Amino acid sequence: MHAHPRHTSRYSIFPRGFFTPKGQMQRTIISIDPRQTDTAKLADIHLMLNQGHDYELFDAFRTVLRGYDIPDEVAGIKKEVIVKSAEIMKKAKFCMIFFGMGCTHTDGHNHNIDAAISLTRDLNNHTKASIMAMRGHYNITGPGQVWSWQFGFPYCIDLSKGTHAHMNPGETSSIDLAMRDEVDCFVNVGTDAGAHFPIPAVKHLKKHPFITVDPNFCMASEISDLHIPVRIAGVDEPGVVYRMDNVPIQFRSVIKGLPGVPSDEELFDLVYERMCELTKTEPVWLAAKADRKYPQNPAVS
Amino acid sequence: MTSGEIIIKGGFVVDPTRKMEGDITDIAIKDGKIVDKVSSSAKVIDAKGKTVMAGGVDVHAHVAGPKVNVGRLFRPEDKLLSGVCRSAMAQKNGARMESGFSIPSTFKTGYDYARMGYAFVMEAAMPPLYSPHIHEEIHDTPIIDEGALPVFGNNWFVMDYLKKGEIENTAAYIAWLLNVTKGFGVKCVNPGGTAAWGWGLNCLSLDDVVPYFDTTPREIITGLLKANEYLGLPHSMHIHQNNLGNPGNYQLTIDSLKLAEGIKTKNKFGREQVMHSTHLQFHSYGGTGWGDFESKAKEVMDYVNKNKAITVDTGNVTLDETTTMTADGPFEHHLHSLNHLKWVNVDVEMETAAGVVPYVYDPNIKVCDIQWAIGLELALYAKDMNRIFLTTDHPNAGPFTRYPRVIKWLMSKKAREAVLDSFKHKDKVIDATTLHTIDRELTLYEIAQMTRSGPAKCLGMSNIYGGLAPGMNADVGIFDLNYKNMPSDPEKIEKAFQRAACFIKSGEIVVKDGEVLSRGHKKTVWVHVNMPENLQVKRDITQSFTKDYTVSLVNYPVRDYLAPHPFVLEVDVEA
Repeated sequence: MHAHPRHTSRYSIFPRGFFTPKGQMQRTIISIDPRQTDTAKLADIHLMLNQGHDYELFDAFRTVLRGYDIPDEVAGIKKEVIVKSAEIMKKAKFCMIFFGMGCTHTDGHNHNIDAAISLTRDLNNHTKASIMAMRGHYNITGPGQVWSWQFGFPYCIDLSKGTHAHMNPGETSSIDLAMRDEVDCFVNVGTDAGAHFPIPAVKHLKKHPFITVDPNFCMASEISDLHIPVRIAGVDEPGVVYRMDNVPIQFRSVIKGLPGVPSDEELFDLVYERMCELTKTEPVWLAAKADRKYPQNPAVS
Repeated sequence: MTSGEIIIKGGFVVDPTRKMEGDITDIAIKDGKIVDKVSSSAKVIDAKGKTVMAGGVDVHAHVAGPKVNVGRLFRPEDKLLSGVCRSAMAQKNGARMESGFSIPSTFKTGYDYARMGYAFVMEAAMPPLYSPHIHEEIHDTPIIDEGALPVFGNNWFVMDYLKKGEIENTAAYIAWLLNVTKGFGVKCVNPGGTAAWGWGLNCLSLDDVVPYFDTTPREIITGLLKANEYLGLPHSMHIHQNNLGNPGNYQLTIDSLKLAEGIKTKNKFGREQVMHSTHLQFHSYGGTGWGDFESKAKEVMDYVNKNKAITVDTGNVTLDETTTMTADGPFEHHLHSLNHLKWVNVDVEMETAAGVVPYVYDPNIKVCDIQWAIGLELALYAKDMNRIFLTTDHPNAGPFTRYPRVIKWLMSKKAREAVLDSFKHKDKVIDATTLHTIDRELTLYEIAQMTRSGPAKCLGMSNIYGGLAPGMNADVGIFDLNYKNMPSDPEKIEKAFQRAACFIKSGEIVVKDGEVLSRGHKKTVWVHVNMPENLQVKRDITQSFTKDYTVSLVNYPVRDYLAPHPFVLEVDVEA
């Protein structure tokens, strides 16, 4: 309800679908959350599990689905409720599991979602089931897609070897690099490292040049040595944005951008051009873009 | 395209479009096209003792798009198999890093195809909703020209029209979708079955009813065949049939192929077939289970040889660890339950679905070996090599980088026997296949038919790709093979095709001795259909987008800037 305000009305709970013309009336919503959230209040069943016990709950669902018995209470939830919920999932025509950071960033981390994925797989022996991450940060899916097709990895990409891309979260992830003080220049693009990174990581980063590329003032921009404002894709700059389910949406710009403010792409082109000048190399990939005609901003022309 | 003139001198030219079987002649290039002659200032490339062929044409590979990217994303281990490191020289030349083996990055895809002398690659399944993504990836794939086939076989509009027998409306919808997605032709994957997968079901015979839509695979296939000819598209209907990969599916395969009988081809692009049946290897299985699994390649090819209205591609298993990916959602679920490796499923609203599962074609497993033999048998039983094309259904049966290896097996009985001898279950494989009885070894001319002139003609682009006649695209591969004195060691054949001695794409030298020199001038090829507006279809589309789609109609068409190097084939349809 709060993290994704449009999700319930456009996609998950309320919309009238092709096979669900009555919208919410034809859907059963189960909320798994230790807190009494507004989403939980909307749900038909709220499984108020003990904090940090996600893995046990998913495991219990799987056990029930496979026809085995479970203890009277698992993860703080009564057996009857678990059995009833599992039965609802099994009898559903299409069962969709959405998960967020409450599941992946608590005790157990990735193992929780491993159990949920296994549950999805098991459910497919009974009905049709699918699972999807509720991803934060507008267009976080976009870089994941682009880096996957360019390097084969969605994040934590180390290009410093020059010969091949390398990915090892924990080793090449930004916070870990910062904590080990391996970074001597930090460029913060379209996110707020100041607000999201642990303080010790930011302290290390702040020892070296700290650059923020962001349309807005934020905590990171406040402590930056350099803050470059850029246009916002979908507001004053057109472009492709990948929706949470990986569907590409071609955004238009709705207002005219401020004079002198470049788009992200123009900015990085300028940086690349200058870098090639300094290293005396041919800006070949800039030339590759020269014949790519960008759409005119209709709000401008 | 460069205006530089090039002349390739003294090579053995193998060009089926002009019936040249190793004739020693010069190939002249100017302004990106093959010409009759060039001035004396032209750059001379000495091809003496080497074989000269047109750039290769791949009729079916999964090289760009959402499911390919899912494969890259969920298989970091695939990068360990790639074995490529960018050299300092390549970095200096401006080449990008390469990664991945069975699902290479876009850059590696472009470079590897160029190294093998391929000029055109067809992305075989484009979910229409995701078409901007595919065009973004195509843009990032250097050198090679590409097109993409949108999938229609489980599209709700198509099923709805075909249920009512409305060919004209289906055709109008196809025309609209090709135009807005910048697609090339009509792909049909597991007709009806993928839609049934919405309920966790499948269609395993031609007359299984699709739930809710109340139509059958038979109706969908026949309807799409007719709609394709109604429009007169350059390519025919391109089908991945029902019941893929299951023992005993060959009868269904032949029955589906028979649906092409009685349908007349109608087009202005020189195409003769009405149906292209893809990765036939997966559809030529006998037996009742994995125990008595056997080859029915002969039976299937006997039919294909008789019916001139059909073209096929092989889908050779290459015995590698690879990644399967298809719009056949239910099949991937089935495969996952066989090998228990990781599985990704995607459902695309109102259009299609897809699945991805890694797969190891292990030479120690009997079934994999039989699959390997079936792929080769198909090609060796073929009578008209212009109607059967070499593919591995990349990356489903093996990565496209194994084409040279498949060529080696097709050209050398010795190489085939060596593989057969290495199998743990050799005797069982021999019992279930006939490959060991076949003495046929394909010639370079036949390989050129399978990889050049044949697929180009099948795609309706025989005047652009696949040949070396004046006026055609200057895509020329030079391979280190002496036509008159072929090496006795089959490994040399594989090596020659793996790394072209020289590859010229659109009149520019892009590869020399297997090293990529340039990022070329790639083009995106698509079909634009001009036909009178169909008010019924227009209304249906508007209504459906208003009510059912999660994207709005104005945001659906691929914007022109996403495909900045267009090569558009115009099709005019009279009312």
